[in-house]
Amino acid sequence: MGVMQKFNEPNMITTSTDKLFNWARKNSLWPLQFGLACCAIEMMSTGMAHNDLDRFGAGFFTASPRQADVMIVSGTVSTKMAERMTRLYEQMPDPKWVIAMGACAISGGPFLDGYSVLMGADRVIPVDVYVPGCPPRPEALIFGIMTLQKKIERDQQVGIEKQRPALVNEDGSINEYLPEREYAGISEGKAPRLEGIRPLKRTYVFEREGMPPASQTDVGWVPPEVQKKLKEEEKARKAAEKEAAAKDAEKTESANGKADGEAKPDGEQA
Amino acid sequence: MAVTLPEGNLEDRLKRYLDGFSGRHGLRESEIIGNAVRVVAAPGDVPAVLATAKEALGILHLSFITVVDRVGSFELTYELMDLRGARVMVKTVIEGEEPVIGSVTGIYPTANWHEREAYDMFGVAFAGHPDLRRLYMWQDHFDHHPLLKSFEISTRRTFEGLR
Repeated sequence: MGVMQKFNEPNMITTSTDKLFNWARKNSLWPLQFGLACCAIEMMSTGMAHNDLDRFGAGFFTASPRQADVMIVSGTVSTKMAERMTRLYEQMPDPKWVIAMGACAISGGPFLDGYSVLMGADRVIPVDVYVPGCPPRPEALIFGIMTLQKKIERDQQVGIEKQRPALVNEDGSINEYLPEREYAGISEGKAPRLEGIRPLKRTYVFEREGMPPASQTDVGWVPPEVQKKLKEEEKARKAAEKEAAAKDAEKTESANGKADGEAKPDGEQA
Repeated sequence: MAVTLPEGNLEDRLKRYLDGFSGRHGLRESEIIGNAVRVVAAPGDVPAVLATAKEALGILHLSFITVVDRVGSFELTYELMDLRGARVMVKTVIEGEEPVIGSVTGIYPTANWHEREAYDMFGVAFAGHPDLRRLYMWQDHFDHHPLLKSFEISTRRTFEGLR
């Protein structure tokens, strides 16, 4: 790592900060605990005692993206999952790396031309190391992690202003490796519709009646006696509304009559 | 909640279910196959048939709802289990390209997600469902029902803007 020199003080070395930081980073990679499909089983096996990923400092799978350094995309990325994966990637702090594990994460694999599968994780997030296989053996994943370590070792990170690898900038503009589709705001339903997509013919909107707005997600089973009670209350409410409407009509009528009566003498005077 | 399972041995129960259904509803077909009762009803009668199963016959469990696209008509099967080995298949056929059928969410609460799945994959609309959103596919940018026979796998069309 560095050059050992003879100093007057013991235990001193000279090295560059790049080498020092890279050495520290590559030897304590914390992968994100993030499994998508059968590749995740091999990933678990890699972390267990027999293959023991801890030998390479990458055995601690953290459950929070805030503490993770490397994301192992282990398995099929469905398009619905791509949004979540992108969000997890954005939540990881810099510096961060991505390993695409298995055929699905590399290119869609056996699900090529499927209707719900993303054709490779690198369509939405930047991938550093590709580990082929279906699924790759634990040795292959270990080799991938060692390859990533070599890449980190070569990296020049300290003191250089790197472009922040965020997918969507704060002003809403999209960085180049993201395809046309914008992921921001999709889950809130704010994303604009792309042009050229024919609206769906069969779209049904049903009236939801008799339920408070908070219970619309899942009313579940309503006992018959409660249903009866609700219906009676509804009837009573409607009857009361009708009565009130009738009274209002009477009032306005009488008011109009009064107004007419007042207006007449005025007209006579004129 | 106290749960009481239906009583009697398998044959008795099957016969009771068969009589219970055919005595209360006008059915197209009804028969016993092995350990299952097969009932074919008109689409409008399905919620009533399932209400009979739950309330009168005491069948507690709705296992699943299957849909088959017969190009021009849709075949729906509601599979019920009485949790003691007997099964009931309630079948119905909906004519037309845009199927609509009454929801059974009020009878079997578990039908909520089953019906959402059927809507997502086949476009079967369940009138009266409290929250008929897509279950598997994403909500926006995907306007297809992938298990229909008329759905052609075309990645280019499916992922407009994505690939």
